[in-house]
Amino acid sequence: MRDLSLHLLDILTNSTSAGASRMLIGINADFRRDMLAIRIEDNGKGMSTEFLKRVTNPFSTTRTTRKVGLGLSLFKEACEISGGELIITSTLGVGTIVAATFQISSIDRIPLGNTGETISGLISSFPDLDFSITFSNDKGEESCVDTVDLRERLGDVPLSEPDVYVFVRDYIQEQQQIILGGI
Amino acid sequence: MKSLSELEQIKKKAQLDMSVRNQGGKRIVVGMATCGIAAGARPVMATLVEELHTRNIADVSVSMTGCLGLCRLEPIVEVIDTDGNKVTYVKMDANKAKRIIAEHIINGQVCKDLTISAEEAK
Repeated sequence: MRDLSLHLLDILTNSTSAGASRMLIGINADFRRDMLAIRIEDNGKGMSTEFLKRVTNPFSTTRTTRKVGLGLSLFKEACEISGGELIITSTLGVGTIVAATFQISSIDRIPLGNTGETISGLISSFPDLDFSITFSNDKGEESCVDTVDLRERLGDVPLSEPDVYVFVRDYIQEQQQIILGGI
Repeated sequence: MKSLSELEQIKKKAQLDMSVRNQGGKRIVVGMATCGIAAGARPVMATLVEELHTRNIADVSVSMTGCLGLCRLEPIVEVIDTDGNKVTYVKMDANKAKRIIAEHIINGQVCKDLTISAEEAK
């Protein structure tokens, strides 16, 4: 994966496959502590303690097309090589939280990339599910885009409209740039 | 700088488009599992939606799906017509995505050289 927003897309497709109806994404850059944190919380079906233990092993997957699943193992690798860590907590029937940290200045940290394209792609593919993304930094600046708000503004116009996709993508990407800069 | 209030304009335009829309057009599906994402499926999806947006095509939907089981041929795009007939395009990129909108979606001509059968015949 070339950037963290592609990992984010991959992790969020796990959430939709797990039957989640609401996904909360938080991305915080703490420049003083040199730490980037990405947190993904869903209300999907969750994982058993037993599955959770081996979920970052590439030979664990729920997919039926083949026996390897690389998503979380690749994300864990991306965290750890850049001096961060990946923590996954999950409760069956409640949901899953994936929390990843990265050392911002590490030369091995891949860039954040275009989270706008990730979130707008998910929103237009799953217009009935809720996604909320919040960017924040250590200056106390914060910006949130939530499909509940978007749906209210759009009325009977579905979130899957191409015009909505393009606007939401560019809007989220601009908020990312304003709050987090080019990290 | 963009503002969420711009959605009001988008809403008005979309409502007009929707009123003239011919319901149940073609569906485009992009494989977006780990294999597809790593191979570049997200920008392919972005190009497909952008082309529909700029050409103002309202009766075609684009959405992502899981692994289609052919990871070595990703990114994979399927075009499904109203009768459920499916054309599978493989090893996609942004330029090929533009061709599919222009040739297949608008002109109704399958891009034969981009299909899975053309790839498997190589």
